[in-house]
Amino acid sequence: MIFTNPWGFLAFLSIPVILGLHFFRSHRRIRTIGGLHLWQFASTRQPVGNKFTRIISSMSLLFQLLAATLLSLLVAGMDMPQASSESHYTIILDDSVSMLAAEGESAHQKTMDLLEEWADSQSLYTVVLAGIRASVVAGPFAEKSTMLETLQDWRPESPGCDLEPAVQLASRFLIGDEKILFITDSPTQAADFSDLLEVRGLGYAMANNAITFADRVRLDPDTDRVYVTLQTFAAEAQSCRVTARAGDSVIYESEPPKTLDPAKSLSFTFDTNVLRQPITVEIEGDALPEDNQVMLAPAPPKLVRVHAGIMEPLNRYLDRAIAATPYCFMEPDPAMADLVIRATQDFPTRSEGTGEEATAALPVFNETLFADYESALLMCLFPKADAAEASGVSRGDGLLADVEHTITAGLPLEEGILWPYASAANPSSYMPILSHTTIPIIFGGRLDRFSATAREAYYINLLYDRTNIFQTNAWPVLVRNLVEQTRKLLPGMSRTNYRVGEAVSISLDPRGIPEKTGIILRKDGSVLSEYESPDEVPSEISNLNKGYYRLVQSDGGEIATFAMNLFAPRESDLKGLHERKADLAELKPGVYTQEKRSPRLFLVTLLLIGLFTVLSWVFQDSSR
Amino acid sequence: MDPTIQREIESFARLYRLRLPDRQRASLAGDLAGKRTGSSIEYQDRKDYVPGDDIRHVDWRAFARNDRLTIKLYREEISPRVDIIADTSNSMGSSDEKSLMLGHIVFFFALLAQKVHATVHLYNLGSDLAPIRHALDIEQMERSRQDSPLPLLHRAPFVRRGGIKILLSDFLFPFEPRELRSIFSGADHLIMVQLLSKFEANPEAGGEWRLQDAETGDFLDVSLNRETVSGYKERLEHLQEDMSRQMQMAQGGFAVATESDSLSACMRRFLHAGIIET
Repeated sequence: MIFTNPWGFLAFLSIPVILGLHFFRSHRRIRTIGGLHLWQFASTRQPVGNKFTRIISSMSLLFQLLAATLLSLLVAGMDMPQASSESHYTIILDDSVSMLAAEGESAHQKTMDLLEEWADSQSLYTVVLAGIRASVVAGPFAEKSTMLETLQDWRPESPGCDLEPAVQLASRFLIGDEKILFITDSPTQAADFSDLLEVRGLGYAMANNAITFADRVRLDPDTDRVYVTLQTFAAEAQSCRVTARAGDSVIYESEPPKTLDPAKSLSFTFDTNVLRQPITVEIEGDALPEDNQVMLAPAPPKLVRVHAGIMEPLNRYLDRAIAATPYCFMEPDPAMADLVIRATQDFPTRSEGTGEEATAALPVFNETLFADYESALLMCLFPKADAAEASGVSRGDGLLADVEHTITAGLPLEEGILWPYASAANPSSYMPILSHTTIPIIFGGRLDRFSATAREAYYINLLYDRTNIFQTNAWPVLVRNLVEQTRKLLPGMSRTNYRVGEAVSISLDPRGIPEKTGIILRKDGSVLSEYESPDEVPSEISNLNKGYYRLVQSDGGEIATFAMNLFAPRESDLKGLHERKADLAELKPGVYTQEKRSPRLFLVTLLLIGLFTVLSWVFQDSSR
Repeated sequence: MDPTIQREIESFARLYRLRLPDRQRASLAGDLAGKRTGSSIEYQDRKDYVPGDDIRHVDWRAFARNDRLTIKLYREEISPRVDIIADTSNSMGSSDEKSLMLGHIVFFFALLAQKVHATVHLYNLGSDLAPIRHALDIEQMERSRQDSPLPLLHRAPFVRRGGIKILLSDFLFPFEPRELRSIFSGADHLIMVQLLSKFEANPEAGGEWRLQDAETGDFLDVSLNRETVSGYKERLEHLQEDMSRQMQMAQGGFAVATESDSLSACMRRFLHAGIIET
């Protein structure tokens, strides 16, 4: 209002000018403190300078400011507000996919009918969705018609209902003693918040079969393997027919139908030579169609090639860990590998004879490490077994780990005996990622070589004939983390099949796409997001719903495809859903006070400006 | 955060631990077992590995024996919960040193909480009670006006839940310590730390001052003479004694720290107040 009107803005500038003039007349030193209430007793009515003059000038300032403020607002075209009160209801809707389950009418449809019937046109509504994330879907403070119009597009698709963030979000809109109305198909989940929520349950128990997991892996250049897990959420065993299609062609059909036992899930695989097309796997329709079908994007081209230059028995352990890690394989040619794991002698040795631990700085990682490995993006270095004595032992405790780092993510070190090779006071310029006391066990980082690619190197400071981590679960996790870190460095998609709720990481190959090319993200054929250049594409996209996605260049060239599928066994289990009545007539609303325009007060403001101006003159004259 | 200070805090965190009453320590050691499959150490079942399974649960020893990948299924474990609520309102930024010290203390308590294998939740008590991702983010938090945090605390569902609650503030807003204790009545263990600037903790007599409230911007003119300074200190001590008494009644602890304290002095205060132990 003020800043869009130049006259109002100019009038508004008079306020700092008046304040500045008065400020320079102040003689007191100013100190900012946390609170004044412990000082209230000491408030002095005898300010520095002449008492009478100070009071008079303060009164004069007050009236000048009031007059200037009202004048500037008036010049800026302010509309005088008038308060009016309306009832306000805050509603949380269960956004989990089980709300769509139906043998007749679904909880989702019942919710829409309930809102249509119960809500009155005189009240205002704020509607929050409780999915795996909380969001405001209608309002805040929307009228009934706006709320219902907005909710026409609402379709619960979330793989879960996390109530706590939704309650926190909804609490921000509560007024006074207002209670939140929570509409769900599973009222028991609201037990923790019974004092804040009025719960209306609209669900009912149903039997259901679901695909609870599916994935697609490139076995060899001519074959993809499809993994499927089925589960029944019924009281008795169920017979279930599974069909897989590529386009219109059926590529797999379970004959005879699978028998699903309620006590356990059923996993099976089938191989196919369909490599480039998406594959749809489906079971017969039932109460919740959303978990009856999955679409699997072609297996990712981003396979990680691993070359091992270490020695037995570590090579054997490495082979097994690579076999357990999806989308990677051993590469005998060092020049073709993406990830190289090898031994080095670059570690400092302990001071001979003294028994003191070595403190020499470790050598700086540089390009010479990659001299024989042309395509390698990540290098992992182990010390040579016979190079020197180890410095000490840690039994998996007292460790400091950067848990945010991909290399140490989820490393279960509790059972491990870690025997660091050498102490290093200063591991060059690289931060330790895992260390025991002052001894770094894993450290390393990025080598920026070209603008297009970055290489990374990590030291694993462990003596492998003295540590047992190769016999514990820490080892496959560490290898998987190294593979995943390498995959991140490779341009393109790391994976192509995700479950709803996961973030999709995207790394585009800048050499393959012209600089000014636009990028489009399409979902099931329609445009979801547009980016003006490859640089604008985020490295991670989250909050994607179930569907099949394509990342394409604006000139039509395809960059990547991936699928989001719903795997949420807790949502597929419809046995525990039930109804719960709530007396909505007794639901306590908040009272929302809204300001409405009333030009009648314009005259009063004008009179006040005149009055304040006169009073300012009066007090100014008195102070002289 | 300065890496030297970060290392110093980490070394203190290795040296000390939260002082908890025996019943809390027992409940932390015996974690609750859930009905679902999860990641505790309690073994439940075994199944064949398929890509997508949590690779941390591959039975690696069995694989070494028979070249068959199997997954161990464990009973879900419900971790103990520690909520650290840091007052990031304007008053906590009344000086740079106070703001820095808040970050140091939050980081220290977050490390201590990790030591008891708790799920740590950090909250920013500013204009709302938003979660904070990492303790080190506190220093970059934007300050906001907060006349009194009590209504926000009253409204936040997690405050009334069980677990360990740690509240860091200067407590220089008008409030009744008894009311503050009652808000946290559901907590299993309660720790409150009052962080004050040098002037707020120990004002010196001399001069005519205009004191400005960092939250409201209100002014108060005072003459800082011996009488007003001792009057202020009396009121502050009374507030701190009352807080201390209320925390004792809640089986918790209350400590005071000032921006000018060294980290070791801060640790001594916490030890003396009985909220940490070696």
